[in-house]
Amino acid sequence: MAGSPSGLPTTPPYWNPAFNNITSLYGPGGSPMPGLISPYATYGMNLNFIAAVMFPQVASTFIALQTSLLNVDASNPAALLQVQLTMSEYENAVQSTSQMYASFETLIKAIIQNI
Amino acid sequence: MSHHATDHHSTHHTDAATSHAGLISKEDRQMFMEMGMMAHNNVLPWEGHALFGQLLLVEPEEAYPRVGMAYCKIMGGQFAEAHQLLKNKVVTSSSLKDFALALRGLAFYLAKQPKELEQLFKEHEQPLEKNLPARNMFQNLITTL
Repeated sequence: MAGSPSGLPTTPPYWNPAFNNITSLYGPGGSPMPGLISPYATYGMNLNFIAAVMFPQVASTFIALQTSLLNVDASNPAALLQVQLTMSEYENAVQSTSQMYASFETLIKAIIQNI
Repeated sequence: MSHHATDHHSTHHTDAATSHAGLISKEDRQMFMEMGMMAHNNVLPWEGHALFGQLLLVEPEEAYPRVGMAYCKIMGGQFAEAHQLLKNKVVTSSSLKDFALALRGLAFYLAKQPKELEQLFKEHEQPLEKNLPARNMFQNLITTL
């Protein structure tokens, strides 16, 4: 814990692999409203934020779904199939991570209870 | 995780005088732990670090400030520092040691280090049998990485 005698960092980094490692629709920072609110604030104001950090596959499949929906051509069956595919990928990601999130929440509560 | 803030202050001095467990009561420790974590989760990472840093100064021989600080480090992507905090003897000799292992597992998971995650679990498989939340966390981490 370098930085100060008390070990406090002067500028603790804010890290979000869910949005740093993929191309966001909203560009660098991932904010849908650049300039209006902090990009950090768009990631959620409760424990949902942790889910975004812990489970980047949820974010990446959601953005893939969003992209396919924005670009969909209703007259093109292949495009509709692509939307269905990305939707099922997103659903799978959410289902596979819900158990993980539950165990994480249980762990944190158990830590606090056992202090 | 309820807070009974109004009742705490009258008991502080008694706790400090009669208990060698620490300067801060268990309920206040729990409250601070939750506050620090929630601060960090709510886009206030500096405040989370500051709170656990102060608790570390007040109660250096207690495990929970290090665990809380490690939580902030993990959520900030500073995995090496988190491991360092959680491997400290103060933590590994405390009642939080199994939970600390699960947090280290989470750090390996987020750093995409499956070998290290599995090795950590194997090394501590037996003691983790007795800690269901920590063991379940490990199992979920291993199966999804």
